[in-house]
Amino acid sequence: MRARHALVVLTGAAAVAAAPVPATAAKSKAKRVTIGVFDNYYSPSKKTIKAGTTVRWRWDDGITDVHDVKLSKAPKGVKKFQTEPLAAGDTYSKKLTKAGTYKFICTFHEGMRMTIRVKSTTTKKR
Amino acid sequence: MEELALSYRTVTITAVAAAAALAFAPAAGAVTYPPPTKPKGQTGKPKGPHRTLHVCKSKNKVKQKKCFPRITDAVRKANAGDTIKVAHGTYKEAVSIVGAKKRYLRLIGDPKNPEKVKLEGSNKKANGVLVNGADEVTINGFSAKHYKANGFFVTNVKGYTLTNLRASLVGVYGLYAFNSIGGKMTKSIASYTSDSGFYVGQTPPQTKPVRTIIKDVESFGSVLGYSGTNSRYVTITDSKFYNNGAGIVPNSLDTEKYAPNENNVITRNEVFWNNFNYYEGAPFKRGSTSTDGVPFPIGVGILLFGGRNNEVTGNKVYGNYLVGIAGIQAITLAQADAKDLVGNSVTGNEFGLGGADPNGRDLFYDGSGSSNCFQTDGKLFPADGSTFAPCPFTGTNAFNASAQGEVVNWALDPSHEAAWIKGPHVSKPGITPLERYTGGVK
Repeated sequence: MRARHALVVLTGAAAVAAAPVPATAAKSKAKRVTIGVFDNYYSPSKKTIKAGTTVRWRWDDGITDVHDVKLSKAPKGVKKFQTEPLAAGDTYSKKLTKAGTYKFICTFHEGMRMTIRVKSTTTKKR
Repeated sequence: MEELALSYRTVTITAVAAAAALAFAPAAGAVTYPPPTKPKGQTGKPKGPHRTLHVCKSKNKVKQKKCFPRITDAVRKANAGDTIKVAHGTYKEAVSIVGAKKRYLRLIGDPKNPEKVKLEGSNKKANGVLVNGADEVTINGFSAKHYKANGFFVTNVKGYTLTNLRASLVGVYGLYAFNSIGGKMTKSIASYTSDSGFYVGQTPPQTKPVRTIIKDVESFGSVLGYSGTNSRYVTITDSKFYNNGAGIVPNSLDTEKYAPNENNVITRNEVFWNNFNYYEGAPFKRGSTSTDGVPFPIGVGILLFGGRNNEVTGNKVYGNYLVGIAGIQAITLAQADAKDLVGNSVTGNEFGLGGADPNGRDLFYDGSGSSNCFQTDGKLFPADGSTFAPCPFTGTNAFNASAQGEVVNWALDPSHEAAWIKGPHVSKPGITPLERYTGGVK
């Protein structure tokens, strides 16, 4: 019997995204992003990344319920995946290589969902 | 308190509005559900011949050749309907039984001595045994300790048997069934879990309901003895729930599908001494023990938090300092048509062992909803008995906003004990009342 958290958390990820960093550092950090898995919500719940970025979900140490991450909607041709129900301290990583919109849900908790938009890294020549 | 103000509302309905509401109100239980979900993986009983695989920890090389060193290895090799026999020993693994190819698998430890076949999570692994999408799996004769999530976890199945199991010091639930149809949890003990010892959640509504049976189990030392979020068709019987924060709590929440809980039967149980104030210390990591800012109350035997057509009958309920049996609107539920208590009956329960081990109050009901009835022998809250209708009863119950508000305030009390009415306990061989944890559980 777990409660829904109405809390809105400003994540460190948002702060990092806004902080000025050297170009080389920014390039290396862009290869991996972390999504927090909390009791009944993911944070951030929306994220835009570049193709080829590894998304790492981390089940927060403070959670007391199990959650999973299921890819419920993906760009055409992307194989869907689902983690096992995991708990505090667990992690799961997946590289997202194809541009498009990816939607994720927790199959155990109604309304626990997130969206990742993957942007193409190819630049159009003029 | 602000959260309470947001979630707890007193609504004054004028006579005209009430009449209008009644005119358009759906009949009891006539809520529109999504179509029944048939959990994936069901493909029927497998045809034999079936094999028996063995798992053992033996250092004897001859024996080693005949058995798998890990349960996980045996499960990988097993086909639907096979039996895996696991020898005495400690197995530091998280066993997954996933998919229709593993249906009807029988995982057998030592049914007579479950403590001798140990699953050890070392606070690193999530679930002792996870069954997902494999129907009619049997797990018999194991103990599971120190898992971050659950001892034994079954999800998305039609039918399961969890029997002769012990789950202790796990992070969420001892024995846990989710989004499943039918199933049995029997002859098992769950203790010191940070949520509930036994849990049945998100039961899909069914046109021909298959009941889930929880029988001959014990649950103690947890935040809740049993929790059933949006559970239905569950029978809990011949079991003991004691020394938890609250004993048996069918509930309705937005966090899972198919609210409200309904058609559950709670009968012939002993529900006593559920006064464990885990806020003052516990052998487990205490998590979010609240619902939208309203903490779970401590000192309650059986709590109907919303729900329809539940029967609470023939239980012995004693020594719970707040209240023996309580019924309250699911005040935190957003789905308005599922908040009220509807068609529940509370009859034939024995309270307080004839005064030798009294509850703080025997019955509480806020009067929400309709067609709820109570056999009122005992100490009532509200004391004037105005919310309680005798059985059978059809119609709108007498809602008392003041009584509901007072009970919510009991839950919000920071000490969690201010509204307790403490009384003496009878002595019970082998069981000591647990109100404050003083250490020693490993």
